[in-house]
Amino acid sequence: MTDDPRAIILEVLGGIAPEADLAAVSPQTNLRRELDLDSVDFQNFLIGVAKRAGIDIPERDAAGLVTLAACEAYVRERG
Amino acid sequence: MTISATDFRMPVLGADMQAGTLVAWRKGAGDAVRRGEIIAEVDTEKGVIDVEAFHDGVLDEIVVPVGQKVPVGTVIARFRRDAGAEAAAEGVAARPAARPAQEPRTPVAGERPRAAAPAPDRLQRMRQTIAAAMARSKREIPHYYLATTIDLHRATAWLADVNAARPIETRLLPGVLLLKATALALRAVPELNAVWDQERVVLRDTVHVGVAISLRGGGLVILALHDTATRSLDDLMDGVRDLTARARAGRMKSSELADSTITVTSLGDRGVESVYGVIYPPQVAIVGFGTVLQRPWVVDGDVRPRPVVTVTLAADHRVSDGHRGGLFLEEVGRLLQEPEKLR
Repeated sequence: MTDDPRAIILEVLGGIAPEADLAAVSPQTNLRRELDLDSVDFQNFLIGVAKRAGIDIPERDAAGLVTLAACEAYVRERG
Repeated sequence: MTISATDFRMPVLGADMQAGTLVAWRKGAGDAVRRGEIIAEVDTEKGVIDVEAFHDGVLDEIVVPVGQKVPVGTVIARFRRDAGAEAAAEGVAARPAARPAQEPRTPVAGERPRAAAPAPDRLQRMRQTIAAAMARSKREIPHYYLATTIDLHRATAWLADVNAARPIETRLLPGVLLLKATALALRAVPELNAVWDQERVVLRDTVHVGVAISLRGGGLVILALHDTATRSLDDLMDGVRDLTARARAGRMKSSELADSTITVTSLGDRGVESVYGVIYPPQVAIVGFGTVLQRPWVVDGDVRPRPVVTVTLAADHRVSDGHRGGLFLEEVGRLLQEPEKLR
């Protein structure tokens, strides 16, 4: 693996919600609600993470990746 | 070859725009320019907009220098072009037909957004211009409103089936089916795809659905999803993703701000059940989709849970009436019962 999963996730989020203070986002917070991501933003986020981490995110898994912690664990496991 | 000179004017990037500030010229005098190419960047309340050329030619003279703010319609540059190449170039809002191929695009990490969140003064100006356009709409356009609820179980099942076999970057969201169904339904009631111009309606041959996209930090833009009726769902999905990502990052193109022929607003992601839009002048209709909800639905005498969506229409009574508007909503619902045909 080339990058730390958390770094990848924060970098992609930073591109979608550039004004957000990502350091202040709790690992357990619902990202869509906290960062006001609509369904297209959220899909762009997952596409970005999948690309950067070199993984695919099947449809059945996508809906569960709603927190930083869940995303990080997922990327770590599959990356 | 006949050469003619053409004035290039500050474009009208939406009904609410009064003026724009030149922040950069991307082409210089003497440069060859292709239709659709970005020639300048203009700062507006909505952010910095990439202004595209309307036709092939040569940039002859830059009239308005960087840093100057000018009203819409002001000549900002002069072009020389091959007069035989194109019939008309009068309309400043004419869309470049040859667009570069759309590429799905997520914001690249490290790329610096130009207007990620509107600064407070920009946001205030945006609120003022939105307010001015909406007040004008409510003052001048005799709106009528209709709503219906559509069973989406076929559309939802079809989407789940299609998406199961796809990698994430090509997966379709329900919203894109709704956009395509809206665009195709306009074939049955074409007078809703039109603009009101000097006391008369002007029908548009091509459907460019304007997608209302809320900006991070406040305000919204309506960006044209070009040729909505004729593009494939896959292509439209890429288009929506691209428009959303660039609206977020403040990288919008002039044609996207100028070309919409009808607007679709969806507040489904915010959990709103139904939304009645205010028509965006000079358009004559706006369609609203709420969130997709599981609701008890009567099927063959039995009550069953079904995913349903409420679709609304606000339309201009000078151009259409409730009967025609009802036909349109009925057609949207009918098309969504055969999702495989929307491809």
